Amino acid sequence: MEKAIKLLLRSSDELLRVLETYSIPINDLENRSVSNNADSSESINESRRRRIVAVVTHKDEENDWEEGSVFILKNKLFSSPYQDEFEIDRVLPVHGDFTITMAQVNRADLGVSVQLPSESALNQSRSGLRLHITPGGESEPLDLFTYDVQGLKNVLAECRRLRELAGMLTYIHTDNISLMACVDLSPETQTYSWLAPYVSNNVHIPPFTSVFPNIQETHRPLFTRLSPASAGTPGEDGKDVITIRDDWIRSRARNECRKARARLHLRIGTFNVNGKMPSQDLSVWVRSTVNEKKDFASVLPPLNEISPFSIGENNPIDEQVEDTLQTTSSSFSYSSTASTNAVHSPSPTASSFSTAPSVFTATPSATTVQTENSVLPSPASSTSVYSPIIVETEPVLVPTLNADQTDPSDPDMLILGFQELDLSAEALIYSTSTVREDAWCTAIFAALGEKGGMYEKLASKQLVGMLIIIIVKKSLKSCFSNIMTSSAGVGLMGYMGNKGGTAIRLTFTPPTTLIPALDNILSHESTKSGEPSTPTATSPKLDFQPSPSSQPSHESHGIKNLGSTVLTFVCSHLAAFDEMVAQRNTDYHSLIKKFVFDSSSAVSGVVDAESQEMPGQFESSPQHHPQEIQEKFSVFETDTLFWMGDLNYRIDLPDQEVRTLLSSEHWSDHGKYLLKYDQLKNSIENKHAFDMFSEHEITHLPTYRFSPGVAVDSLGYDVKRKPAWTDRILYVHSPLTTQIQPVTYASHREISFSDHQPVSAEFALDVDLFDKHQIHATATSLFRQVYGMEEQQERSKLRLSENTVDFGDLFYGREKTYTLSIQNTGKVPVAFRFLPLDAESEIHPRWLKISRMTGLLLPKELIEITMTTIVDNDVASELNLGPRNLNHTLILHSVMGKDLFVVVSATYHYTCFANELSRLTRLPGSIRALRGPEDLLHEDRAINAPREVMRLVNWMMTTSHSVDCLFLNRADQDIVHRLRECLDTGEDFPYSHEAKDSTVLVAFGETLLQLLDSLTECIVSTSLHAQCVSPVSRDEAFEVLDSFPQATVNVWISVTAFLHYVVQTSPDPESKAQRIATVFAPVFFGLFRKDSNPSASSATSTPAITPLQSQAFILHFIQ
Amino acid sequence: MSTKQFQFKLVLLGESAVGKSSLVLRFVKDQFDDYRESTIGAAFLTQTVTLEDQTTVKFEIWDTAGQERYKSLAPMYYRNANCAVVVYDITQSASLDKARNWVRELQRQADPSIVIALCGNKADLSARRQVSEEEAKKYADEEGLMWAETSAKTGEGVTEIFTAIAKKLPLTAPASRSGAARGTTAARSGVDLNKQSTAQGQNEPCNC
Ligand SMILES: Nc1nc2c(ncn2[C@@H]2O[C@H](COP(=O)(O)OP(=O)(O)O)[C@@H](O)[C@H]2O)c(=O)[nH]1
Ligand SMILES: [Mg+2]
Repeated sequence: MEKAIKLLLRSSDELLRVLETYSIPINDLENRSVSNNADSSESINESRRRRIVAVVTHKDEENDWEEGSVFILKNKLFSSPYQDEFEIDRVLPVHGDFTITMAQVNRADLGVSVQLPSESALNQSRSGLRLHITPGGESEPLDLFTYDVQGLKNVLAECRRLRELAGMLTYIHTDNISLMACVDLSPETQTYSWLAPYVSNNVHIPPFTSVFPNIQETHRPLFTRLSPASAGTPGEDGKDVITIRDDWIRSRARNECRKARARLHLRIGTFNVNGKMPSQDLSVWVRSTVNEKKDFASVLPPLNEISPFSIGENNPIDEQVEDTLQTTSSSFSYSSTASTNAVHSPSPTASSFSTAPSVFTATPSATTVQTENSVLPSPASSTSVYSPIIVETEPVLVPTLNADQTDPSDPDMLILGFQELDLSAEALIYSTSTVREDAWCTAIFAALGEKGGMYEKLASKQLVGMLIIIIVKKSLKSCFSNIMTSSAGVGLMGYMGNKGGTAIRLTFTPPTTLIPALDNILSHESTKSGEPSTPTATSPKLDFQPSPSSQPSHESHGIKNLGSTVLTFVCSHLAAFDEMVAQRNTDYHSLIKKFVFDSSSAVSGVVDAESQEMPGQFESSPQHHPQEIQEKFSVFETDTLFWMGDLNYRIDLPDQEVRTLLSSEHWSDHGKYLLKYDQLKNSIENKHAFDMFSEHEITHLPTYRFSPGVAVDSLGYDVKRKPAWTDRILYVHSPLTTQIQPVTYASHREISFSDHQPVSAEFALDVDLFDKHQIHATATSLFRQVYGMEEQQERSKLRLSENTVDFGDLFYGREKTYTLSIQNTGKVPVAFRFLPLDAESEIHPRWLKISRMTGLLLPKELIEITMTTIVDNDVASELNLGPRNLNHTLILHSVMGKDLFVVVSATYHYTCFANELSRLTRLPGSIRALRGPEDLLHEDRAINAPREVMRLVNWMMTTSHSVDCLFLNRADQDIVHRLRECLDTGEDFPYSHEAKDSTVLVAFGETLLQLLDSLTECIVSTSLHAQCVSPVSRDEAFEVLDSFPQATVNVWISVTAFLHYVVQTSPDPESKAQRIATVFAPVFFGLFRKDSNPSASSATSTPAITPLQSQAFILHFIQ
Repeated sequence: MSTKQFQFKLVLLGESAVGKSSLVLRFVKDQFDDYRESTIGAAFLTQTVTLEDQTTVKFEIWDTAGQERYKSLAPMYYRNANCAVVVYDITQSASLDKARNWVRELQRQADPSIVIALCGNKADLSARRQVSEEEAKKYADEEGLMWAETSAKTGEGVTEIFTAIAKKLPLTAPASRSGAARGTTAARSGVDLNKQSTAQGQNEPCNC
C-alpha cells in the first residue's frame, strides 16, 4: 500500500504515516437506522468508502524548515478491489486550526459493516475509533472510522508535532488558504506551496494533451530548440526548463507505458496512369512480394537490449538522427558492399551510439572501449520509488496483427496513390466524377484475386487527376477511426497541368483482441526472469517476444484501453520538366501548408469512434468528449507520414550519360552514380524540400518515360525524355511513438500501358501498445514530480562521476568511449544541458560526441552519458593541423543553477590520411615524427610526391604476382589498418613481396584508394575538372596534366602507370580498364564528395565533369 | 519618491579555498558551512541590496572555480561583468599573489569600467595572519581598488563590501552594460542624476 501511495507523491516529499480508514457518510451519523444489508454489493461499497489517511511532509534542510499535511486518499474508481490504486481525495495542510479528534464508537452504531482486507483485520475488535478532522481552512470537516488504534495514535502524534512546527512559524495565513496564492510568497517563508501540485483543481496540466509535437520539429535535437546560452551568460532558463520538462514527460510516459509493439504491414503504391484506364493485371503492383521469413525476419528489432534510457529527449535517437540521415543520403561511394544491409539494419536502440563513418573508415577495426564503472554510491534511501539508474527496457514486439490467421505476408493496409487519373478537359474543370475511381478500385480488387475478399476500401480522396485510396483488411477495419481527408492544388493551374495532392489522416487503434494474449504473455514473462527464447518465424501470429524485466514501478501490466497511433498518407503530383526543380520544391512547401485536416469533417470508420486521439500524446482528460472539439491538424501532426506520388524530380546529368550509365555493364552500380545526381536526393540533402524524409534504397531502374509507339532506346525509354525516378515513396515518423522498417521498394515494368511504371514499397510499421488512461495518469504523475521547476527556489545539486576525462591516445579510425554519470543529489528535480563556452563556439569539439545534450533528473536519479571520440576523415583533417594535445572543457549547466566543468583531454596521433596533398609533400619524415606544424618543410623544399602514395604504389609494382580482383573487391580491413599504421609511422610493411597471398595485395590496393579518397581535396581539384572533359586523345590528355600542380602530376602518373600495368597484364584489358576507371573516377575527381554536389551550390543542372567524362579521361592513361 | 531598481553582474575570482563560495553563501543566505564541497564549475545566485535611498541593486553573482585548470574559462564568466570581487585568504600570502594576477587580468581584459573590490577573507583567523592590512591596503590604493577584510565565518564585513560595491556602481549605467539578459534590466532607465552623483562621491573609499 505504501508503495502505491508513494507513486502519487513527489520525491521531494516524504510519507510518514499511513492509516486505513473508512468514510462515514453524514446521514449515517444522523440516522443510525441505515440498513445493515450484507449482500454482495457490500465489498464494492467497502472499497468505495475506503480512505487512506497519509501524513506527508516536506523538508527543506538548507533553510531548515518542515511542513506537513494530511492527505486523504481513496481507491481509484475503476481499479480492481484487490489492488491498491489510489487517487488524492483531499489535501489538508497541518496549520492554523487543523485538528483531529477521536472518539470510541461501536461499528454497529455506524451502520458500517467492514471486512478489512489488510492485516489490521487480524486484530480487529468489535469496536473502532471515529476520527473527526477539522481542516485549518474553511473547507468541510470530515469523519472517518478506523480499527487501527495504534495507527491512529501514530498519526495523531505526528500531526501534533507538525502543528507545533507550524505554530512556531511566522507566516501570513488567511483563513481560507489558497494554495496557489502562496506560491508567490518569499521562499524563506513557509507557504505550503509544495502542496500545490497535489491540488489538481488549481494546477493547470500543460498541453501534453492538446498541443502535440510536429514530427518535423521533434526530429531536431532538443538542445537545438533551447534558448541560446553560454558560459556565464544564462539563456532563458525559465523557458528552457519547460521545454526540457515537457519533452521529458512525453517520452518518459510513453516509454513507461509502452508494453509492447504491434506490427502493421503496409503496402504503398504510386502510379501515374497518364489518363489511361486499367487495361492490364495490376497484381504485381498491389500484391505483396514480401517473403515473410526472409524479409521480415531481417527487420526484427533487437530484443532484450537494455540500454541507457533516454529521459528528456523525446526522441531516443534524437541526436543521431541527423547522422543517420546523412549516411543514407551520402552513402554513394565506390564501395557499395555495406549499403544494402545498412538499410535493413535494426533500428538503433536508445542511446546506443551509432557512428556514421565515411566510406573508408567504415569498420572501426580496433575499437578500444574504455569503460569505467564509475557508478556513484547510490544514496541510502529506500524511500525513493524510482530506480536510481534509468534504463530502458526494449518492449516486446508482436510481429503481426494477423488477426484472421491468413498468410502473414498479406499487407494489413494497402495505400495506393494515382496521378493523371483523367486527362480530359472536363476533368480539369469539373472534378466530380468518381467513375474512374470505381474502375480502378475494381481493377485493384481483381488484382488481389482470391485475397480480395479479405479487403475492403476504407477511404479515398480525389482531386482532379490525383487520387488516394486506402484499402484495409476487413478484420482490422474497426481499428481505424477519425478518418480525415484534405486536398490542395498548387502551381500554375491550367497551364502546367494539374499539380497538387490529396491526403488522408486516420487513427489506428490496435484490436482489443490483442489484449488477453498480451496480458498473458506479459504477466507470464514478468514472473520469469531473463532467458529469452528466440523469435520463431514459423508461428508468426501473435508471437510474443519475451520481455526483459520491466520497470520496478510497474505494478500491473494490464492494458484495458489501447491507445492509438495516427497515420497520414499523402499522394501528390509536383511540377514537371527537368529544369523545374525549384518549382517542385516550392510545390512541396505550399502543399505542407495547404493540407489541413479538420476534425469536424472526420468520418468515423468505426462504431466506437470514442475519441479524437492525439498522435504521440495522451488523450485529454477522460471526461472530455473531444469529438465535439473542432481541431485542425497539419500533415506533420501525426505519428507517421508517408508521402508518395509523381514527384517529378529528374537526374542532373546529360541525357546521353543517363542512358549510357543505365545500360553499361561496367557501371554496375549505375543507380549509385545516377542517384548522386537525383534532384530529389539533393533537395532532401540540401534541405530544400522533404527535409527529414527518408526513402528506402532504390534498386530499380528509373520509372519514366515509356510510351508505346514512340522511339525508344535499348532499355525501352522514350528517346525524347531523359529517364528519371519521378515516382517515389518517402516517409517520416516520430521515433518516440513508432518504428518503421522499409522492406521492399520496387517498380513494376510488367504494367506498361502508362508512360510511367507503377512503384510499390512495403513497410513494417510498429506501433506502441499502451493503455491510454495509464499514459495519461503517468504523465500527470510525472508532471506532479516536476511541477513548479521553473520557479523553484531550492538549489539544484548535480554530481558528476568525474570532472576530468582523459581519453588517452587517439588514432584515426578508432573509436573510444567513456561513460560519465550525472546524479541528482539534491531534493528537487534538475534539468540540465551542455553549454558552449561562448555563443559562437560549439558545445563540444568535433572529435568528441556526447550521447545526450539535455536531460532531466528527479532527486536521486542517475543518468549515464556516453562520450565517444571518433576520428574520421573530417575530424582528422582538422586535427592533423593542430597540436597533439587535445583539451576541452565541457560545461554542464543545471538549468537555473550551476555550471559544472568536465575537462576532456586526449593525445592525438597524426595520420597521413585526411591531409592536403601539398602538406604530405612537406613532411620531413613520417607524419608521426612531426611534433607540430613548425616541423614542416618549407614549400620550396617540398618533395616531389607524397611518400605514402609512392610506398604503396612501389610495393604493388614490385610484387611478383598479379591479382585479378585488385581494386575491385573489398579488402581485409585489419590489413588495411596495419598498412596505414606503417604509413603513419614510417615502419616497413610487414609483408613480403613474394607472398602469394592475394588478400595482402588487395589490401594494398584498397589502402591506396582510401588514402587518395581521404585527401582534403580530391587529386584533381574542382577547378581543373572542366579541362579534363575535352581531351579526345592520349596526347591531349597528357597536355592537360601540364596545368596540374607538380605533386598531383606525380601522383597521377605513378598511379595511372601502375593501373596501366594492371590492365595490360589482365586477360581482358579492355573490360579491365573500364572497370578500374569506374573505381578511380570518383576518387580522383571527388564525384561523391559533398561539395561536388551539383545542386548544392547553384541552380545549374549539370556538373563540370560527369562520371562518364571522368572515366574517359582516366582511360586515356591506363588503356 | 519611487524606488529605483538596478541589476548588475558580479563575478568572484581568486585562488581555490580562499572562501569565495563561503562569502556568497553568507551574503545570499547568511549561512556558513565548515565543510563545503569546492566549486568545480561556476554557480549562479542572485541577491538584492537596498541602499539608504531605497534604491535596490540586484546582484547576479557568478561564483567561479578557482582551480588553475579552469583558468581559461574565467573570461567567459567575467565578460560583461559590472563588478568583480577578487578574494584572497589573509592566512595565505600566496593567495594575495594570485589575487594580483586576477586584478591584472581584469584590468587588461575585462570591461574597462569594471568595479573591482579586493577582499581579504578569513579575518577571524587573524592569529594566523600572513598578509598585513597595510600591505593589502597599499596595493589596493595603488591600483584604485576597493578593499576590505571579511570573514565569511563570522559574517564580518560581508554585507558591507557588497553594499559598498552597490554604491560605487554607476547607477545610470545604460541597460546594455549588463551581460545578463534576465529581463529586469529595463528598470534602469529614468534615474535621478543628482541623487546618483552625490551617492557616488560620498562613498568613494571603502573601508568598512
Ligand atoms: N575560518 C574561516 N574559514 C573560512 C572562511 N571562509 C571560508 N572558510 C573555509 O575555507 C574553506 C574554503 O572555502 P570555500 O568557500 O569553498 O572557498 P572557495 O574555493 O574560494 O570557494 C572552507 O572550508 C570554508 O569553510 C572564513 O571567513 N573563516
Ligand atoms: Mg568555491
